[in-house]
Amino acid sequence: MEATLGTGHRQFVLFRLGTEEYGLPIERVQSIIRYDPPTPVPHAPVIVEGVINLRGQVIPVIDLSQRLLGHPHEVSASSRIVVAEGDTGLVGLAVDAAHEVATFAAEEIMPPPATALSSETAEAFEGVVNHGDRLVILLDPEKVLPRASYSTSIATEEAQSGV
Amino acid sequence: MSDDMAAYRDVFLSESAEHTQAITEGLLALENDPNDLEPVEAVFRGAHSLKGMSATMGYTRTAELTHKMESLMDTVRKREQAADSSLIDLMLRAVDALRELIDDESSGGCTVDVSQVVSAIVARTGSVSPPAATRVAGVSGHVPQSDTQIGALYRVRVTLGESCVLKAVRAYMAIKRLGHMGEVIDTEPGVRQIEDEQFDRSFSVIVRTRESETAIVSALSAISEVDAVDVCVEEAAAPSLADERSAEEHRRASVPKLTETQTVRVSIGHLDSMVNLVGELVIIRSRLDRLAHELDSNELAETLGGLKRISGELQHEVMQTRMVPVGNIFNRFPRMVRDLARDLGRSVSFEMGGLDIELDRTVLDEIGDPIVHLLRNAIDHGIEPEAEREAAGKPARGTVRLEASRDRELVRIIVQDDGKGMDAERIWSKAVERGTVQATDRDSYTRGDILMLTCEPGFSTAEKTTVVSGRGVGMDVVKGKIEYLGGTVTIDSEPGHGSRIVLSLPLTLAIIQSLLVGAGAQVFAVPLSAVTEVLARDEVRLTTVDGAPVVVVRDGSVAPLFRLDEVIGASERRRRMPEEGDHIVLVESAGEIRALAVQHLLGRHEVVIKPLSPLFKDLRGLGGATVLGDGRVAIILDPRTLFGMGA
Repeated sequence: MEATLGTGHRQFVLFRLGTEEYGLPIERVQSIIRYDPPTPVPHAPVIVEGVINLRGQVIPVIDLSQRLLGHPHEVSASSRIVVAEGDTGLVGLAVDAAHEVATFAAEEIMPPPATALSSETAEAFEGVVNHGDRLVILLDPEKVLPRASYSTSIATEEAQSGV
Repeated sequence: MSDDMAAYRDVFLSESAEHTQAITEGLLALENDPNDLEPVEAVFRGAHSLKGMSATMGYTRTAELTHKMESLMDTVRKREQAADSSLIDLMLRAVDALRELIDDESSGGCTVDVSQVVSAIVARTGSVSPPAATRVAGVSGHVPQSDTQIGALYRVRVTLGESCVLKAVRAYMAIKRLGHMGEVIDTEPGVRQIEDEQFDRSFSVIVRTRESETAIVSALSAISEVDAVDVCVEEAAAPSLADERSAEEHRRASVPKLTETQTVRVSIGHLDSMVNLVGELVIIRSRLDRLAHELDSNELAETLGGLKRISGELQHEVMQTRMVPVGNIFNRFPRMVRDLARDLGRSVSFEMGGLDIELDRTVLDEIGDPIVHLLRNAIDHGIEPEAEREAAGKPARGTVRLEASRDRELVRIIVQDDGKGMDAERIWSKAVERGTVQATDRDSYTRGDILMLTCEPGFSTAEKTTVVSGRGVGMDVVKGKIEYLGGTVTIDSEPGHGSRIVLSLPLTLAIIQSLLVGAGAQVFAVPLSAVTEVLARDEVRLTTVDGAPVVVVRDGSVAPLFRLDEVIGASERRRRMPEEGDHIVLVESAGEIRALAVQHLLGRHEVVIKPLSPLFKDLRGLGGATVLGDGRVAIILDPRTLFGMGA
């Protein structure tokens, strides 16, 4: 990731969760689709909303709000699913709105500020960038898209805490 | 390497694998009957073809090794020496080296050293071998033929009569006759294709003989139904058809080869996406069915009937393309069994059956290792040493049999031996010792149950650890893999009479019959193979045992009852009685009946199984997902793990 940061411009797909704006590298985004309620999967960890039928393929949908902000997202007319390519295949990310592709120069991207965020959330941030009058948080796809082992640990934690 | 060469390399690699397999089979057949010259020919031909092919590719070390193997087999063929076990061992060692060498040379490496095996072969070939070693240059694409027999090299083209019905027999007679006159170097198509009558009316034989052209023609014309015999003298530099194929000629040569075998190689990726697309088609079709029903149009329904039939056939055909004969993986076992038996000092005759039974490619890829394990067990723990067998009044030579058979939607793989069998009491005490079972529970275990204890993780009753069996990893891995594939393992064994292990596997993985059931608005699919009965709530007697609801089934047995909404929910509340109007689905898994209370019963459907993301791999009770007629996703429940939750 450092290697690409140092060179030229990069494109990001921007989307909104609550009042925050986020970006994912465009090369990891396959498509953006209208939000349809996913089919819940029994006993799945809470960040997994369920599965959807994407042109015949069944893919999981992650509640990104749950993952990053700790509460479920609210479904509205602007809700979308960002289909991203993860380690384990295609993964849908439920977001409140997705509307824009933006190009940032490498030098515009600043390291994420040391805030009071929990380390587990902060590790998913690659950096922040000023976009007009807004601040966009760029996500590290390797960290934000679930991996098989990661989901297991979440599931285990929940089983143990009896959620 | 040019692109052309890269393409030839792929052809070379697939053909060389066939030749090394043919050599291995020939050697094993020869070992069984050292006087049979048929397998000697097969081995010789295999080595010869490989020599030519590898020289064409510029793989000089492979060409040299195969040349040495060919020379050694030539001495056997001419009965200058006997094919005793040390010779077979040497040749098998050479085959192993050859495989490594081909991998090495074709990927441009030069790390594999075969000089030891080469010199061993040369030593064994001894003074009877022609000093031809220095002549194998190969780089130019010209291969020196073995000068073991003097005479001219002919290409003989034999054309059979149009009405000839026993083409393979006539061809066999012609080749045999040429074999008497001299040395048959190669045939086109290959001998196996000729035996299978996979040629039109004519075939060619390359033969080296001292006889004249006219002698050849008259000898062959004497065979009935031979229409024409064309003989032409080949240049000495081209002893086999494979060598002849220079890069320019290759394309021309390979076209007729395709039509001869009537097969094409298709990448697995294409097949998989075809299966997916056909699955989609089936889903769209059922969606249309629904629309037609709503519109109540006869004409549309009729047309859909046609579509249904065609898509059904298409689906069947596409699934067929994924089917592969089990022989494809079985063929490596004879060699393995032989080596194992020898290493362990056992005398074993190995039989195989049902090689043409077909299984889904995915399943087949997965069962190789489990079978290897079962065969190892049979030889290592099953078959006794000769003396022990004779003392027990059994034939000195043990028998291990590997067989595939088809039973409707199931394929059974059976590994059977006539060895000492399994001692249930010893397994029981071992299990007690390990704490797997309580000694006091002995009465509730049948003999079969006890034998299945060997499938518990880490269970091994071998008194001494051997290199072959190891310790710790064993039947549990076999059972795990087979169950992962949706199959079952059963063990049957009589002390003193041997063991029989049966792996039952589903024929295909991708499409299953299922019962759709609903909880609230959500639809689930239950594999129909697990459903034994569907009843209305008032058709069964409900009661409780220890406060938990159970169903009294017709024959008086009691099945624990689970509500679907509780099974899929996260809660671990006490199980409740079903609601009024619920349906009771009796589900069998691993021999146990359980009752599942469902709110809605949506009927029986054929569903295409879609894999679930690896994210869900640790969740129990899930068998996959499927897309319903309305495009929604339904989770396929796995009855084998479903009821383990919260227990």
